[in-house]
Amino acid sequence: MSKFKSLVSVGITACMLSMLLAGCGGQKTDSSLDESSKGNVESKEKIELKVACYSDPFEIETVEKQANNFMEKYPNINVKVESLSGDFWQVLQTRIASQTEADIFYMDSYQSPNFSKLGALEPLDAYIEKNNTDIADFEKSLLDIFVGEDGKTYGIPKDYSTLALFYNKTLLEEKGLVPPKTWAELEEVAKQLTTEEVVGLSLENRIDRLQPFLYAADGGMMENGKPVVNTPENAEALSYYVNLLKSPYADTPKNLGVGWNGDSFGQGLSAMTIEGNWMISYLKEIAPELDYGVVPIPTKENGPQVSMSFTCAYSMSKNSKNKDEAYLLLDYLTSKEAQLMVAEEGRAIPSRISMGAELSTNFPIFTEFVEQAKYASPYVYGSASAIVVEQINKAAEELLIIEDADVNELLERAQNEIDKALAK
Amino acid sequence: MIFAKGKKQKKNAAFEEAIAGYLFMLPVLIGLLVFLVGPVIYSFIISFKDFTFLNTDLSKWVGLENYKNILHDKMFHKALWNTLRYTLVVVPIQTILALLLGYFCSQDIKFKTFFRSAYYLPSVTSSVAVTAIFMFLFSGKGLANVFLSNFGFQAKSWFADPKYALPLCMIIAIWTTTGTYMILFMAGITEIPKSLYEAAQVDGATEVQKFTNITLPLLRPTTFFVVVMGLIGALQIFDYSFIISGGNGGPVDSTLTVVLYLYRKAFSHFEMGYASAIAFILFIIIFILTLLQKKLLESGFSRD
Repeated sequence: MSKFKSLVSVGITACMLSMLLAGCGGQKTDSSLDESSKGNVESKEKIELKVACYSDPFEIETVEKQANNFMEKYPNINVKVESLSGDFWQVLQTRIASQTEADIFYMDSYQSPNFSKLGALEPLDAYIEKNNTDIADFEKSLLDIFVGEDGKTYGIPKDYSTLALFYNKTLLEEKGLVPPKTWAELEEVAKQLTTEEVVGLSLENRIDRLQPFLYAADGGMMENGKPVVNTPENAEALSYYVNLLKSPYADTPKNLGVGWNGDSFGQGLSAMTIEGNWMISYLKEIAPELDYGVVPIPTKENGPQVSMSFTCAYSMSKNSKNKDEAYLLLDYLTSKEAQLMVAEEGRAIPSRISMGAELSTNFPIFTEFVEQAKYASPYVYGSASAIVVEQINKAAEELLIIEDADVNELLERAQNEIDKALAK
Repeated sequence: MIFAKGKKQKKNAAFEEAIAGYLFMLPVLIGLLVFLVGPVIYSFIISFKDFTFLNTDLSKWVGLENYKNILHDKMFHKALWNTLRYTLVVVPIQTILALLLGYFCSQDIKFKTFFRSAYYLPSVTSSVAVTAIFMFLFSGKGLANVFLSNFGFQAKSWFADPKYALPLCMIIAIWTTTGTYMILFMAGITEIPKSLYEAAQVDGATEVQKFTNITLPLLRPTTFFVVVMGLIGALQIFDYSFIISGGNGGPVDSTLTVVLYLYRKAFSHFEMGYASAIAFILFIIIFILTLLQKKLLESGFSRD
């Protein structure tokens, strides 16, 4: 082989190597402003912060806007917004394992106990005090979700969503019906609205939609901080819910051939559904002509008002190298100014009490959802949340699918598995 | 003088060639070491620990405890049973189908190229997209149910019924992977010398006799390869069951496969060590099956 040929082969190899390494980059959207180009002479070196959010384009847009405002206030801090695509929690875990995770990231109510218990999050109490964050402006029920077993605060909620009953005004008014308030009324209205093409109710057979029914029957998921599911009240509520699905008046979105309640309700396959306020912007997009209304979820006769809340917080990584600056960012992202942007977009309810009112003024359809925050039970079940959700969903599923399933037996089994997992 | 290469110059040339060869392999070698061999070894090590990604400081050695717990784990038994059921249906069907399709596509028939492309196309599609469409087709009001109701089949959502969810995965898998193996069989068939067929023709053999006495035996190596690859692929099924069940192996754990179970253990229950142990047990199962395969089909190779 001539010298020339071997040179060429080395050159090609070098190109291939560099292509291989180039492909090893992560996915980041860079929103940093180059302050130095504006002629500022920096005596301090720039601090780099990363904030990770869901890969929803609306979320990314909002966070980037907030980050840009922050960078104008603090020119010596450079903020990169990272969106983790795919399964956010899986990617976050692998990033934490390799110590390349962001300084600030989204923390779901459901995941928070695990992350805080396993020591991945930084306690925020000291920073809250030092920076005089007006923590009282935040809805207490939301804040409590992110307090760990050790009593320390591990996240500051940024927004939340609640569940309510959506109903198709046109279909209801056609039959001269009013939106149901009790379980009996719900069944009756669903029956009357069910036709060949339309089913009365579209329901997901999962704890994250049926939980309000448990509380309506005076049941619930937690007792003294421990998940307890095998109560007779829960059995009653679960039976009621699953019987609805067994009847011809309600069905799951999957059985209707669509992905979720948003599609079944938006496409007119069901007259009513139980969903969260995130469906509002979805319906605006896929069914702008749909005339719908929102009422609280029907409760058992003489039962309490019920709903469910889902909240997301900002948490700080324990491994962050610039914790003070990272807290400044966290503080800003949950400040009145930043939450005003959220209120103006009308996609989620800002966690600050003052901002919740602002949202209702801008978007009256949200009023009912903001109202529900008072009655909403949270989507969090302690450090064994994953197992609790799996087991209760399994019980609900088997109750629906298996012919002669006994609800009490199923809940007993679920409780046993949960206790086993907690004992580990 | 110009053409006479001395011994030393020959050695240099050979050495340079070898270097060039290794340099060409280097990117792939590095890739394999870093992204395959390295993680496999690391995974093996953490299978002996109680390990969680979120806080590696909390991990501790537990020796064989993970492995012992797996053997008693009812969920793992269910997952293994589902995976075996799935494999025992998918592998024979896709092998036989691929063989038949490969045979027919090797014949001189009209639109040969069209058929080849058509049968191969499913293999290049995204499994996620395919699964979503199949779920739509097999939903309560979907086309599949409309078609099957002609045979007196009661319409139901296949993915919502514990008896039909795994069969749906099987159907999707067979539809997707048969094409790949069909190509392999076609390659194997073109290797068979035409003279053998001609000789058989002269001896008065029918098509069927030609197939069973010439094609099949000479395809043994290809069949072995297809069956082994099919086994390895089928035992690792994850994407179809993940999408159909939404990640929970439902309904009622009917689509819980070994890899789906290990994924759940790793990322939902934060038990990376346990999940790694499951992965290794699966590896051992596949390895043993492959060795058995080899033994069984070895006897047929001696003819070559």
